Amino acid sequence: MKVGLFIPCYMDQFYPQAAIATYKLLLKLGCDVEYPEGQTCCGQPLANAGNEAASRGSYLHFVTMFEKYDYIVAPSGSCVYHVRHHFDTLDQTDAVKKVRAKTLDLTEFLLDVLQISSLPAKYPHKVGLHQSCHGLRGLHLATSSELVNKPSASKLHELLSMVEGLTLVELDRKDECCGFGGTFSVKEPAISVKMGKDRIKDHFSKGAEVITAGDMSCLMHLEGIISRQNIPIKVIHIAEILNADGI
Amino acid sequence: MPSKESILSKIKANRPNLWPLPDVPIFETLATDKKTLFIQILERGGSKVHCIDDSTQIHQVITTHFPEDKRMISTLPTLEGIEGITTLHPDFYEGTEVAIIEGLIGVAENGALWVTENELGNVRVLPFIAQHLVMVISEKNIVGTMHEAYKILGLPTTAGFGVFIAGPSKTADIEQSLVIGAQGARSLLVILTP
Amino acid sequence: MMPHAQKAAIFNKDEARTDWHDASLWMVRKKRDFAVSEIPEWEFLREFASDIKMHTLSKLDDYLEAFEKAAIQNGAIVHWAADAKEHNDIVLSILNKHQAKKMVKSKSMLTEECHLNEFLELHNIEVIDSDLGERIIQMLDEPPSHIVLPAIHLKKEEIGELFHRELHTEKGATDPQYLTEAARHHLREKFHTAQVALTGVNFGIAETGEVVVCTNEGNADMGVHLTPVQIHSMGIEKLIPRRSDLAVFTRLLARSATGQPVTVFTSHHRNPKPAGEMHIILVDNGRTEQLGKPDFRSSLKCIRCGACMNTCPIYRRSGGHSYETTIPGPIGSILTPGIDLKKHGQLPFASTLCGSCTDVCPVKIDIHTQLYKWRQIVSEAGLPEGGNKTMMSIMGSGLASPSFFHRLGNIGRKLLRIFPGKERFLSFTVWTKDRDLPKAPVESFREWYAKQAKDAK
Repeated sequence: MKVGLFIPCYMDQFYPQAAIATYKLLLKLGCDVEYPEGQTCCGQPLANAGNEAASRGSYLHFVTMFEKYDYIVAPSGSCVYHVRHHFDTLDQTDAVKKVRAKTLDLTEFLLDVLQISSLPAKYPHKVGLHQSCHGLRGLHLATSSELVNKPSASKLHELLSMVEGLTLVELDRKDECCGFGGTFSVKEPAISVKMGKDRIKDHFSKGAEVITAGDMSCLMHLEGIISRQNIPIKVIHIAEILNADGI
Repeated sequence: MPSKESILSKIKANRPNLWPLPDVPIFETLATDKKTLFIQILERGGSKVHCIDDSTQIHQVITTHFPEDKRMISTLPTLEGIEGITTLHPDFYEGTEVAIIEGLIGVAENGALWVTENELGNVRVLPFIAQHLVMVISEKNIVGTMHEAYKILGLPTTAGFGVFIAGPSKTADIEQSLVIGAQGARSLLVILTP
Repeated sequence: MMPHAQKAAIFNKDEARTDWHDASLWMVRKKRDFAVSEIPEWEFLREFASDIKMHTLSKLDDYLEAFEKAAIQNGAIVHWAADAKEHNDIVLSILNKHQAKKMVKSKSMLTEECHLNEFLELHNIEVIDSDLGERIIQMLDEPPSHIVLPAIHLKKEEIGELFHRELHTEKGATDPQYLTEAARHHLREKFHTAQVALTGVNFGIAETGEVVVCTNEGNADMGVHLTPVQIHSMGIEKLIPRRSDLAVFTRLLARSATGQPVTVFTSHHRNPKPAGEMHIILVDNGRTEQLGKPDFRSSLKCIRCGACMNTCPIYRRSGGHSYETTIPGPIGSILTPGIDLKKHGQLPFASTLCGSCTDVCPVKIDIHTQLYKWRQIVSEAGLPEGGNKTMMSIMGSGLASPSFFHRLGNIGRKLLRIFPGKERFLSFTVWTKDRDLPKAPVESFREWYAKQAKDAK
């Protein structure tokens, strides 16, 4: 099984440690994983800004880059959601269909494909889990709080429960949006920041030392506010926790 | 083109392909005891419930809840000594302290009671204009859900007006603070007969 | 028109008030969660409701004709209005026919949409909104900020001050019970002296010709039953085929709206009261056009519960007035661009596309997907909200080209290394007003990976 690793552009540049953790974790779990160096972007930033048509080139490039892999894994529910749900503007060739079907978020891949039930991870901290919206409501990595009477399984919870020493805090609003929203963060900065502040407050007031999520973009936004306001709380991508050895 | 024709022709041009109409099952309540649920939901919504063994006790229940010197209007055929419907003019009923009417169906899941203008002596405004409302219903007529209720109701035959009433009139329009007694009745007393 | 972002920024200047507004609406959302948790078949009901509405839309012309026929048979007078103006003219003609100068009105988003009050006031008709929240904002001469909770943006102190001025309540009195009581007395008098009552319609039943009106205050019924002439203004999408379908919708509506198991009053009006007159006005006003847009027609399933507003993290923190539309919040942002793209084209961008609105919607409108699709249309139309098309197209080509892409990324990171912290440069100024930029690492993942591969060789 050949796995192609997709790393979102801003992670590549600003959060390499989360990408490295993803890569190392997949290796640790015995995957034949490769990072195709010609990769660019899934096209989401432009498309969400209303320019789906301009994204076509990057969609096609994504397909070309990844069609040879059995699975395409990304540590980002948001990019995966975009590939799975918004590549429908392309002609649905066999390659497009295959790439769309086989592109998975890291947490899905670990649980649904590798079907892991334990991890050699240790992270002795109090952690607050932020459910990134695209993973939550787009990929159904958990059951959103709006839905009723469906099993409330959350892939991120399940994985974090395999980590030794980790304590999850209970939040008041378990899946409210952080306010990032791509272009929203700069089009509507006042609300974007306010939403971020409110999320951080929820985590911090429950004693979390660290906020984790499946999407680095949410965490980048939260980290920007945390840093500006000097709040003693950190952000860390879930891959780094799942790959942690206890320090 | 008159608007009716233009609207209809625009719809014909723009409507989607036929979408099938689902058959909706009659969902029943999971509650084993509908009467208890009915009472519980009514009370949660700010209503009072009084259970009696015999419909002859209705009068007595009313007098324990309301002073007798106030104006009361009843449409119950069995209630003697209380004013009935004398005119259809709605304004006449302003100043009614207590209206006493019969509910035909009670719905356990939401505490709603169905009443039509037939039970209101054709004075549709009665349950709204009175300061306090008393509804009498037999516990035999409690169903679990709205599906069951509408199944029994079927299509309207004689009544030109029917209403589900699920409590006293209320509002939360000022800072989401619940206030009982907005424009309609300030209280609802449900008398449950066997 | 001020952009949503700017209005939102003004709203957010008073952070305590923003928190208060957010908490009030979040409480409603929590009540909704509790109410729906008691219904094991909730998700099925949503599915049924969606299907019933889609079915009705697919045969809307047939159902409207059936409805009209039944309503006429019942003794109602049915009117058809192509747009807001025709609707308002019809209302005025009914008032004139009865030489009526005073009309009580219960909550109706449709008449807000038609700006009926302003129109009638120009013709010297006194219109009294009889829902407490509506009456409050009418006295303030403001539009509703929420479709179910029209005065949710106001504090009790402000309402107390207003009532002191308008209804002569005690100065400084803010107790909601006391203020509501004052409004009760004020409105009772109006109910008795108005000649005509107008209501909105929650559901029209094709098979019976009935209109169903849901309220908690009982104000719609007070008006309708006390005045000789009743008018029901109804958007054509309010139709459902069967009376039994009401079971599905009444179970969904109040639980979604306020967390109540049902509205206090669910009134079924079939015919006029003795010696009374009953009018039903069927209004299009852009609905048939929306029906013709395959990506957006399902927005016509909306039953106006307001749950998408209560759940929307943006609405809660910007208030309904920031949208400058009759129907604010997520549903308004997909309904209004179809009416005026230039004016409302910015609204689909007032969202993070978090999708909470879609999951909370009792009739399963894919609101956030439609927001995404409206963005594409706004951008296609060349409106500024969609960004500069040439720039976007250059960016698009760049994103498809590995060499360009990697160079750009590296430049970005290196700039951040040269200027770390809080300085304002490039297009990051907006970001950095209240947020720091990420700390740029020495090497990118790509560089790290390349080294790994080299070392392995």
